Amino acid sequence: MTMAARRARGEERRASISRAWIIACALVVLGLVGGAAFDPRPERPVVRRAGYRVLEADFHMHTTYSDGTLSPLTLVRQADRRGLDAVGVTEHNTVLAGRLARAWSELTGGPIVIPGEEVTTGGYHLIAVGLETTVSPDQPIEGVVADIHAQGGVAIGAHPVKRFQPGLAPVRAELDGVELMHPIAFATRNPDWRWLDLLTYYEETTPRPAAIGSSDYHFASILGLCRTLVFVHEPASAGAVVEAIRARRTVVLDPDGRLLGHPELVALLEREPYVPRSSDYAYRGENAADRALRLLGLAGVAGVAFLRVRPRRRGEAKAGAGPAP
Amino acid sequence: MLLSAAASLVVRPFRGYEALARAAGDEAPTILGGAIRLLFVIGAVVATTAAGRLAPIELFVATFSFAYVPLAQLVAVGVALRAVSRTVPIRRAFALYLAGHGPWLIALLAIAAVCLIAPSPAEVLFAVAPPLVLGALAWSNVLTFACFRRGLGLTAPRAGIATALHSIVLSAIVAGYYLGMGQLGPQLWR
Repeated sequence: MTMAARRARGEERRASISRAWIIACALVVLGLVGGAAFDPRPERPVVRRAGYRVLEADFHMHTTYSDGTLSPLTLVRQADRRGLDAVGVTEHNTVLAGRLARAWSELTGGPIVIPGEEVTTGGYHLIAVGLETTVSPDQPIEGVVADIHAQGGVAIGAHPVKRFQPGLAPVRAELDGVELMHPIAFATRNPDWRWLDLLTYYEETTPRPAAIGSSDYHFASILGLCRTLVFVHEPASAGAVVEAIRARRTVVLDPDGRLLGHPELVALLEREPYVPRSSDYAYRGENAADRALRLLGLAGVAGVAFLRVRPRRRGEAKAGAGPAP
Repeated sequence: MLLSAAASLVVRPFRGYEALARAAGDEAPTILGGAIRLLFVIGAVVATTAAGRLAPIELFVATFSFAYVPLAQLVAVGVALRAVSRTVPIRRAFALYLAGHGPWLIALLAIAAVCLIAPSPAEVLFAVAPPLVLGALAWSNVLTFACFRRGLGLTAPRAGIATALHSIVLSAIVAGYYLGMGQLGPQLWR
């Protein structure tokens, strides 16, 4: 084939890509540029109060290993973006995702990742933080909590709504923590999942467990929406976080900003207020350019998905649906 | 017409699959093209809903994380097709099937758009996500039937059996994964 023929064939191929599809691809590129430019890694300043290091933590999240939408790798990345110092990756009935997330976080200098598990049964959900091997849910709950403690972990009653309270009853006095802040405090579809039931359960449990706030992250932007302030002995580490939970040195903020948790630490924060790092849970965007580029990018994705790559050739019959790659 | 097969099939699934079945050469659907389209949209929606924008790394990783979706679908199509026909070419069936993701692409993109546009995303999502997902599930089954019936030329009874088998096998794959991982069983019997 001569050079001229090759050039003509190349031009024919280029001309055979539809202009609309090319514009859609360009919009996707713009969206990706915006996605990279407006995705900064916020500072995680070292905060101390009364000799403790204060960490912001989220102990309940899921990955693509079960019903989450983020992989262990991108979950760690997003936790970092949301200013979380420590996270418990607590997959349903397996610690595998947590261990992967920890390895990735150590490699990339991300937050402290503590492998854990959400022991999930029909009668209760129990967050276990600080595990190396999976705790089997196929045993009575007393055995589950014993196994968690034998590994040096802590057992946290997950979203103890009325439905799950009977299941947790045999171990209520042995719980290290109770999830009393959960996204249902802000919005819920299920009328049986009431945030006030979580608060009441926490306040009526004796001995008083650690106050825990978690996002129960599966999807969307709520990672870190509810978080726990953990007061650890330095150096900050997974072991220090678990020890702090065991010692009940945690505080959470309710939807009205009221402090709940260890009485001395609550008093401390009332004297020396601490404002937890926030994140853009409502998709407000950084600025107008960010909002514009992300919408253009999404429009581009729709165009790439739904527009013909190659224009219909002259003389091609108009069928009900023109064939297209 | 500007619209691709994925869009056209949503509106006219039966005529669309008839036309697609006649397509040849560059116009014929491909397995890779269909799979990449689906995974690209999934990646974009995951990135948009998690990070609030088209974050490249989240998009790229999600594209690979969800690669099991088209794989599971193709297993279901293969099993269903071979149960009703020994002669229909499998590769052709795969390519035609993967051209029919339009309902799911629309539902996913709509969910991402709600997140970016709605003033109160959580409340709007609670309202619109269930009908979007259920609608996509129902209409995608119509497209699957149309694929078997008009795209692959099966008789109506065989196409119906294949569509039902496809749903059963796909559900079994998903349930089997969660049972194998120990995530579903304890929720059912403990």
